[in-house]
Amino acid sequence: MIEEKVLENPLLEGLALERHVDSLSFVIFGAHGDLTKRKLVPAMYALFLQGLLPRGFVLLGTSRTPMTDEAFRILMRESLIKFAPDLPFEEDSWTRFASSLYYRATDSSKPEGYEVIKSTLAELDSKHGTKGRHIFYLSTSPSLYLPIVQGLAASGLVTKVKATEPAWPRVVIEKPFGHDLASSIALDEHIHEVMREHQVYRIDHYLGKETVQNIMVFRFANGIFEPLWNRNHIDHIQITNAETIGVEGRGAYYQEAGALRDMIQNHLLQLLALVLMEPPIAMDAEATRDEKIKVLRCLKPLKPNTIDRYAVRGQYGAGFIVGAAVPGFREEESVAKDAPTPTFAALKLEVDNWRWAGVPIYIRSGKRLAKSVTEVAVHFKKAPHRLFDGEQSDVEQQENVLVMQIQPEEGISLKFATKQPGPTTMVRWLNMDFKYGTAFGARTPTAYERLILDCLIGDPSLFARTDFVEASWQYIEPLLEHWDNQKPADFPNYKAGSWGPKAADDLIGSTGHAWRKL
Amino acid sequence: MSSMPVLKNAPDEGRILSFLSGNLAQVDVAKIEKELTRLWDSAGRAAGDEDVAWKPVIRACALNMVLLCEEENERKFAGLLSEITVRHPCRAILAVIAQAPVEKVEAWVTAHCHFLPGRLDKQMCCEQISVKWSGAAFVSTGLASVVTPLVIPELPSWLFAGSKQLTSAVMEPFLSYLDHLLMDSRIQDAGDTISEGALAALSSNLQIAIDLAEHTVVVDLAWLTISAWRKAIALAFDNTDVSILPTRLKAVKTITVQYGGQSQGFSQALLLATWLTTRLQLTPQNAEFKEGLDNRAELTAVCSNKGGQSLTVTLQAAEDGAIGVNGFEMAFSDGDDVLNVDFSCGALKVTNNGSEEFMELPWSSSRDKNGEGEPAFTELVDFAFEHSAKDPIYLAAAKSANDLLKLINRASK
Ligand SMILES: NC(=O)c1ccc[n+]([C@@H]2O[C@H](COP(=O)([O-])OP(=O)(O)OC[C@H]3O[C@@H](n4cnc5c(N)ncnc54)[C@H](OP(=O)(O)O)[C@@H]3O)[C@@H](O)[C@H]2O)c1
Repeated sequence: MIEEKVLENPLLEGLALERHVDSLSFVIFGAHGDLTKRKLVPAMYALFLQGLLPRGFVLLGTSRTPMTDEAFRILMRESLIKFAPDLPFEEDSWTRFASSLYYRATDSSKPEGYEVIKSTLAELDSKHGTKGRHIFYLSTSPSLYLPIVQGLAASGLVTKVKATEPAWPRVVIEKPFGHDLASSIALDEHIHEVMREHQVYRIDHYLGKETVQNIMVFRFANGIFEPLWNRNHIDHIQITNAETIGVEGRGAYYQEAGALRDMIQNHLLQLLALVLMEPPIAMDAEATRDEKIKVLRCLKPLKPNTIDRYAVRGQYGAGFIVGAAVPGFREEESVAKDAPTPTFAALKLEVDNWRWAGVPIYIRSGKRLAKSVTEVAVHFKKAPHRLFDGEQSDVEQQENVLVMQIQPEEGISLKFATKQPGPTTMVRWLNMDFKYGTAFGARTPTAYERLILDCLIGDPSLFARTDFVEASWQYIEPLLEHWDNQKPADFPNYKAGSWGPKAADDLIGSTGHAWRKL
Repeated sequence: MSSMPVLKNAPDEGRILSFLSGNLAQVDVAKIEKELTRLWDSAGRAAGDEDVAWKPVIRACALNMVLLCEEENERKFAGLLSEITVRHPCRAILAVIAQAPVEKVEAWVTAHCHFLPGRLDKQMCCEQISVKWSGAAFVSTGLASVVTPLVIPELPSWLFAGSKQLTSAVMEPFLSYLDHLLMDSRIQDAGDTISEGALAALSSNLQIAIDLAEHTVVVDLAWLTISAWRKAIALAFDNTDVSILPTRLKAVKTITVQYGGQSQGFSQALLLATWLTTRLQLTPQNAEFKEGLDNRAELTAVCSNKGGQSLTVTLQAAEDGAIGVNGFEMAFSDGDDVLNVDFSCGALKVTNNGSEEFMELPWSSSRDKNGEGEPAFTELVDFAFEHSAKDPIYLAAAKSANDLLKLINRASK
């Protein structure tokens, strides 16, 4: 598109317009909801301020609450000021942005609503020159995903295009994508009846985070790590996602979801795939996603009879977080007194492929843990021969550890041995630390900003493809079933503010390892 | 620069605190690195002790920034360097040229520290080294021999030429070690009218950019200030809202660029005009200054190309208005319509034939000033670091601007 323009319009040459977005209308279902206010509209406004939105642009919001366009604009303005204080809010720019904002009250479970959206879009398309290009963002409860997709198809707003044709219209689907393997397959089947895969953008906001994207750059733009990135040099890998927060008013949702569905099936398996995958043949969407799915396909399936050797669950009881007393999970609002939901899960994964055979991968994720931190720690094998006298023989020999920290401070660190100055050869282990925030001072775009822009451009690289979603459900399905069938007898089994249940230490201890003290 | 005693023994607490607070400490020129290491070392060891007055520091360095200036501008540029370190952790080296009867070289060190966003327990610090060369006549290789060994290898390195009397010869000894030249062809002279001296200075600055661009990446801040204008004009010829057919570029008859700040906005206006003419393969044929409306100076030039297109360029000083380009107008030989680009509250407003569109100005300083003015220095530096590749489009515009300036000189002689 741009190439054509460069040829005929010499003024465009040398201008940084490569991330070009065609004029379009962006429809948000669930526009009265939390996500729209906190993330979606602030991300859109940030893109607008950077001149990244097309000039022909419409944002049409819809949910059941009756509101005029003007009331919607005011609501969004208030949310923006409240939830995005780092954006330079300016009245004139906002007014121009707000002139593209519209709202129609519709009930997504009823067919009439889609006719309203259709006629409104027709009117707005001609008013703003958006040329019938539409993106539908499903930011509602998951139970509405299917009715919305079907409603859009029935009204003709969504049609299946050929695989070779540009992907218009597009549909963006929030997590969770399905509740288990069967529901995710069923949802996909219905979606694929009316749309082709390249029209579907399953959002996983983890993939929009700078440091997550940096895993690829770190691995494949540096020549020195990849030769070591295999079973010959890596002893084991630990992926940790620890949160101090509890369920934060989303008790009802979390009670149904639990740690496996909320974090591991989507975010952490995506992280895992980025860390373990083979180099893609190119930096395009399909090549990267092809490699990621291969990782999931190599995971050794969990078997019911041995599952307890590979997985541990936990639920927090009352405790203290940074000095403040907090209730246990079962005392949280909208949570049943006997809820069996795991708020903590630790897994040991084995990868059956040439590169990773025999390297255990440990994943843990939990709520109300002692500290908030998300990281991937790659533990290298110890030096094969203990050479230095100064290394006390009674002290456990250490190893190099490369840590990619994702939250809260984004950075990379490498632990290595060095000589302690002095007359003897005393070995000391130090950390070489690189913090993103200190090296790049400018504002980092939010994950939603990056992902929405990619969707506007039509680049699905950072979105989950159907086969990945299915394979990830497939992997955890036996565990979901097993845990559903065996009600936990010892819940709650860890205190809020601790590092999870003791069984998690035993899990990693089975191979002679220990969780990192974070 | 305050003269403090040369550091000898282990730095005491007061000296470390002074160093971390941005005060200059004079050091032996031959031992700059050593003294810095000692200061950092002591700051690191003592930090966190209950009885010391500073917080733990993180030293960060992602690039080298050498700033070359004369003694009278030292304060101003030291302030700019300090601002740059907030967003771009770097080793900041201020190379100062001073006039003195006796030749000597002196050095000072200090640190620029600031708290990391949302954290009051840690500071991020960058080091600044000031090297002053004094003498009756400036010997560039002399100063460069002190400065270039201080550049940290393997990191990008930038020379910012803040001096008024720079020549390619002055900068070459530096540029043999540094990969990027940051310069500012904006005329600093705040006179009411454009003096011949100011034009000559502009021409020599552009000549430096042209000469050095072969081996070095040259980034001109004046050029960066007009990037939004270029984009707005270029996108008027695409297919949304204001959508003029690109084929009509062959029929452009006149362009008028209005600029504010008198001579301080001239370079930007000239580069905008020559960007357009070079994109249309037009070369300047003649140029003259004349009295325009209200006795305001006006530059007109005629440019033409082999295709027979002839275009009259007018650069008009606006009576008031913020420094830099304030407005742009383009007329065509094949129609009566006019393309206009103006400021409008934080955006550029593009109008043609009854339709209009807005382009948000990407710099935040414009928002504070109600949509007028140029990006702040630090924002321009951000852009510069982002676009650190050779820019042939700029080079063509700079060459053409210089040719045009030479035509005026000839006309006025
Ligand atoms: N919030 C987050 O940070 C976050 C993060 C990741 C993923 N997600 C996912 O994003 C989705 C939205 O999350 P949310 O937090 O924004 O949820 P929410 O606050 O409950 O918002 C959903 C909105 O949908 C509207 N709605 C409900 N029933 C409707 C119907 N029949 N027809 C039309 N509109 C209807 C509701 O507005 P009305 O009452 O006006 O109809 C409601 O405001 C969920 O799937 C969630 O899992 C959220």
